[in-house]
Amino acid sequence: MKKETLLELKDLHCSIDGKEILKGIDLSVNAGEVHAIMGPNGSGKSTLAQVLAGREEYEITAGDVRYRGRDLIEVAAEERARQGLFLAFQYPVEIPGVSNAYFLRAALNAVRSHRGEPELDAIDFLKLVRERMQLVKLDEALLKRPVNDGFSGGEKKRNEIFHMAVLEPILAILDETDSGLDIDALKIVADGVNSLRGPERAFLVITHYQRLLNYIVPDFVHVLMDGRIVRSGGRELALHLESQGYEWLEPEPREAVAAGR
Amino acid sequence: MATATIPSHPLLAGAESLLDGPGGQPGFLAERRRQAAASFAGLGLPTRAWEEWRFTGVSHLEEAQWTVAERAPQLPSIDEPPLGDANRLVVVDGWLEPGLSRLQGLPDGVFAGSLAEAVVRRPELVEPHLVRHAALNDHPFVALNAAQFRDGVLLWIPAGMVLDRPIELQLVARRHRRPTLALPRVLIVAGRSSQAAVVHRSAGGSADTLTCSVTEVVLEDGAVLDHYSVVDDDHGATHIAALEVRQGRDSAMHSGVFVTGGGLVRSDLAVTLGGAGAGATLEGLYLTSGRQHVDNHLLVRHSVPSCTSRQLYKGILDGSSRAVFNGRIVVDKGAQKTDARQSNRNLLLSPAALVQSNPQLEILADDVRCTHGSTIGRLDEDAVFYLRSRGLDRTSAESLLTWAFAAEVVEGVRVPELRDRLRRAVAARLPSSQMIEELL
Ligand SMILES: Nc1ncnc2c1ncn2[C@@H]1O[C@H](COP(=O)(O)OP(=O)(O)OP(=O)(O)O)[C@@H](O)[C@H]1O
Ligand SMILES: [Mg+2]
Repeated sequence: MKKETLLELKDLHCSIDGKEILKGIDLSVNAGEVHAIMGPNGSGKSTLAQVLAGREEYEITAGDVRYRGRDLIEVAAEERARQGLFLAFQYPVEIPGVSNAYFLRAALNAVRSHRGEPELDAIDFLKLVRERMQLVKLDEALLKRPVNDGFSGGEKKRNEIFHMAVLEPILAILDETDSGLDIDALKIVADGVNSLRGPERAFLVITHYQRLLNYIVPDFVHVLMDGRIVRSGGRELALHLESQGYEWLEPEPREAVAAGR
Repeated sequence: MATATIPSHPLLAGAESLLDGPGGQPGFLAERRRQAAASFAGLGLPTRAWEEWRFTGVSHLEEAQWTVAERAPQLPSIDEPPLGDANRLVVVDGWLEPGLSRLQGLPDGVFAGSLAEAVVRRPELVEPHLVRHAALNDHPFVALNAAQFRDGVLLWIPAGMVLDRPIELQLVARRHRRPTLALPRVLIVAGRSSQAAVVHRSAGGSADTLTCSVTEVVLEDGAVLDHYSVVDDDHGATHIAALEVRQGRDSAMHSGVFVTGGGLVRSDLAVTLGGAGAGATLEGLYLTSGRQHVDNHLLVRHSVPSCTSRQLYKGILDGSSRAVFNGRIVVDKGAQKTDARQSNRNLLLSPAALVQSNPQLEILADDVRCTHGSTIGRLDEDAVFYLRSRGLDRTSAESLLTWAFAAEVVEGVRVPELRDRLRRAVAARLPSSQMIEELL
């Protein structure tokens, strides 16, 4: 049986304030796959992640974005989330005054009602949340605290994975979730992600470090430079980048890139 | 002096009996009233040329013929249920109405009742303070109230007494067919090391209502007082309120000013920290919409060493409403080790809303710590997007963030029943009010 194509990008161009940041991206992600995206600072990785999550400030100037076969460009961010898209932010936003538990419950209920499932009552919600917190070994006290407010860097990243575990997305994009984590926290995060891996689900993992990919083993690795995917390959590409850096990568002709996988 | 001519001003019409001779009141009061009347007649109503009234115009008051409210012939019904098991005093158009009040189980020694009655029957409680603390010389409305208030409330708490239930002062303005001036006056004396919580709430009124209220508060050494004012008048009404606080050594005042209603609201809060170790926490929240205009003027005077003050005022403005925040900290010469902080933060929900935020520091001592900050901004789009990317629609996300902005002040309220009411009042203002109420 052919695996469902969850995400399909064709020649995606994006600008902000008239400045082009994504300069023609082609990418196809099937259910069950893990794709890693690497690339130097400022190459456009977070931009791609935010555009996929529905950030309206970025203008899509050309190209095609399809999610599960349907055009995504006009779909609002909240609608994408309800359809199973999830972004773990590189910089999770602090929201003083809103408890983590409340926010998560509101989010979960929005997603559930979209799926035609009844809202969870407080008791069932707490049960689910406790179980998923275990997954990333997050202190239960963080449930009552305001979202990300005063969380340590590592707690913020684990909280993102915790949200993901509760919302059970179909396509999850992790933007540098490993940055700033010590090795134990990195393993915890990777275990959390791995436990969610399955034939129905796909991950787009943005990272600077091959280290993470030892724990979350990708099916494909792509290199983003200056708004383009300049090389795609298997996990050995990440190892190569680790030792060689990015300089050896000359931008390839576009056709070669598109056929890269 | 007693026979001097009565100062004349249209807003003083009808005050003759109060100003001319004792008229049943003790001599000290008649004398202070005359000074106040002279002061008011000299000042006249403020204009925008006055520094303190630059952003708040009251010229519309000149156009009407105001008469001071008579006592209501029939008691109005009070919509708002009492605050939990609070002892409640209801003041209608400036007159205390025992028939609407509820005082149960107040400990012996506390005086909670009509100010007019206290002036006659317990002058010894009143004389040291009444029309002593509130500034007559530069605030015409304070002078106007002093010259001719008819009644109000005295709350006198003896030394060492701890009141475990809050005292609720409910001010009600009736609707009138012609321009009516209500002049409620409140005096609160918290004796040495006493503790109490007072919730002062005003409601009602109409475009023909001018409420001009003055509250004098005295905290003797070691007293702890939580004082909340909630201004929730009808949107047409004009409410000018002044609260003057004197604090003794090691006393602690926790004040919250919540403006949710009223057409034009001006609130002056002046605190004098006059005994070492005194502390004042002054918080406020104004929620404005339509064409409301809300002006908060704060003055904190550190006149002795080693006192602390905290000001946190937040505003959420919608429609084409206007807000003014004027926060002045004065540190007198010799008031070393002062720790004074001020913060005013404003959230604009509409492009037509406008805020004037003016911090003023006058520091005459050198070993002090004073900070101030003020912000005026919109909701953080990064936060809105973060919430939306988890599935919340834009309206819910914005409501949630607006709630969170207000919560910092609301959650600091130390009277649980009031905190609850304020939470609901804020939620009711938000587009996704139901969602927010579930959060509470
Ligand atoms: N909102 C914005 N306004 C202006 N420029 C932007 C904006 N967002 C991104 N850029 C620019 O786009 C380029 C790509 O930024 P992006 O954050 O996507 O890089 P990145 O690959 O995620 O980098 P890093 O590895 O440092 O996280 C940068 O030059 C950045 O300054
Ligand atoms: Mg980035």
